[in-house]
Amino acid sequence: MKRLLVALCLLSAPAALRAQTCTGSPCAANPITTALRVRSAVSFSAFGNIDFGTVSVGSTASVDAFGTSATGGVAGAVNLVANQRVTVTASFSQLTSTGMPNLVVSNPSCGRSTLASTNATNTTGFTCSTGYASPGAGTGAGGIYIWLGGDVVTTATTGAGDYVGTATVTGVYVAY
Amino acid sequence: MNRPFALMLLLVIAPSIAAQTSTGPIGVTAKVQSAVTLSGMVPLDFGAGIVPGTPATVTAANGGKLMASYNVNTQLSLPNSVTLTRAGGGTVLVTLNCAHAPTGTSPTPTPFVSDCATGYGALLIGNARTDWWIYLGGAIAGAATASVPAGVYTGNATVTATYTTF
Repeated sequence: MKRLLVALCLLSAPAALRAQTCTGSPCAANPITTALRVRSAVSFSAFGNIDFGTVSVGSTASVDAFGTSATGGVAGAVNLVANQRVTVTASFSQLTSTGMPNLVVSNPSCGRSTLASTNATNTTGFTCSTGYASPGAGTGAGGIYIWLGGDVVTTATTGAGDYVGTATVTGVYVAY
Repeated sequence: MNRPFALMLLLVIAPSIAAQTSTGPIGVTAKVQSAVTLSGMVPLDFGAGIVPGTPATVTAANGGKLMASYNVNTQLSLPNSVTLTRAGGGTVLVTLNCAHAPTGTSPTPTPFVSDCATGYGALLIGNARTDWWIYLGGAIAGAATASVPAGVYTGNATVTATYTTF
């Protein structure tokens, strides 16, 4: 019974644990496996704020991720540098101004480019809520620019003032 | 008269019928076949993770190892470097360093005189089958991981045993 048990144990052992008998010279052994883990290195850095421009009440202030705006708006951007695939999404808070009702950012607009400027040629749009998956091999040292825009609708009763809020860019990745 | 004659005859011929001893060598040979086995592999692992761009080293004492059992003098060699690869792309070059010891638990194995590829000449101890351990360490330059994708990289360092086949 003991012999049978030993035999069963040997059969179930990983190949690396079993002795390899050389049948001739030279003999190449089961190799010594070598492994390492390169850690994740993912960073976002703000590149520019979103500015929806100046609008009169009852109209819509807008700027899209490609920088197109009829109200003097400027698309905002963050720069992503990563050594792996990162799925990037973006969300917007409401804009606030003291004593005034909040303004909602609608029609969020997102795009990405490898250049530090945005236009319809060098920026590719994506849906802010579902996101963009950056290259699995990484972004390279220059990173990828994530461009943001949207609409802010005002009504005839919207109070005048400076409204501020935040846009949050989120990156999801496998942590190594 | 017949009896004395017979006795004399016996005395004369006795020496010629005594037992004769003759020696002649007969060759006797045996061949004990070479028996070399390699076992007990312990992986060379660089641990929890390398921060990109940072050099990393694992000493031979803390690295991989493998036991050679042999009944004939055996040259044990490994490559001087190994390229680790990642599923999906990316490679990292690891420079190997080799050492040896009579046990698998040595905190200070003796480095190979030359390099891993030149190898180590493992000799029989006491003209008997011998067990000897090969230790494997590695070093990674900072530049090797500066721009590669994050993830797990694996590779193999093959140990080659060269010996006279009997």
